[in-house]
Amino acid sequence: MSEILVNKLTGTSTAGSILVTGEGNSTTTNLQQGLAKAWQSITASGGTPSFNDSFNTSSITDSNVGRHTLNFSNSFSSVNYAVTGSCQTSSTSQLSNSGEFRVGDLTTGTEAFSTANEGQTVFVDCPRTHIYQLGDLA
Amino acid sequence: MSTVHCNTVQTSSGGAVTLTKQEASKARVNANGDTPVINGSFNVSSLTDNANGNFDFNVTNSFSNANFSTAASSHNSGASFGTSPYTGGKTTTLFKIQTANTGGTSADHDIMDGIVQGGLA
Repeated sequence: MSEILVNKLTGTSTAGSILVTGEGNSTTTNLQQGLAKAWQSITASGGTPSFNDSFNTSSITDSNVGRHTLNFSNSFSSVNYAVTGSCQTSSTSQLSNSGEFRVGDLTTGTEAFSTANEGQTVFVDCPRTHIYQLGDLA
Repeated sequence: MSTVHCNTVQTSSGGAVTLTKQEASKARVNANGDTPVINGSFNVSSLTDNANGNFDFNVTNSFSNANFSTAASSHNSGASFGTSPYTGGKTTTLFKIQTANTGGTSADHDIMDGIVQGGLA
């Protein structure tokens, strides 16, 4: 198997655009477009949210119970990036209730989100919330 | 630091390269279900509005099978809380996002995001 050891890939026609051949060996897909540009694993129990781990995220702001704002290290080029998330409401156990994650207001440098109980009657701080964002960086 | 300048990366035999312990997503979308309109996307050619809160997102490059993974989230400005979208019913040429209100009734949401991982055809 041939292998290239390198620290950085740059497109020759457009620096930020490289195509890779897909699994079916025919179509190509854009490498940069497919990469997650930010993600977070968050613990918010006890009223203070914190990152278990994260990428391209500088901090998290606690707006209220179950309502938080993420601050990105490198901003997106527009507010049209895609966000998905999920949460558990009572513990990190496999038997914990799932919560309801809601995407909030988006800016190029921040993302607000909220978490609620499974019955959607009250906002709750979740002991485990996972979020990731894909889109174009500025 | 070494840098490789190129436009396309593939194996020496013309196939898909392996990214060490990583896999890129093959499609994403940020859409408004009220309008409906696609705000931003990758590998998504169009959306089909099947019914209230029921959308197909047609992909430009098809998947090799229907076993790809779709993660979705949404936001309805008219509701206080979020509801988890349903993503079943996909085919090799489209992924689905279905949204509902707190009571479980299908409803269009003004922010509807999806991210897809899987193998391309």
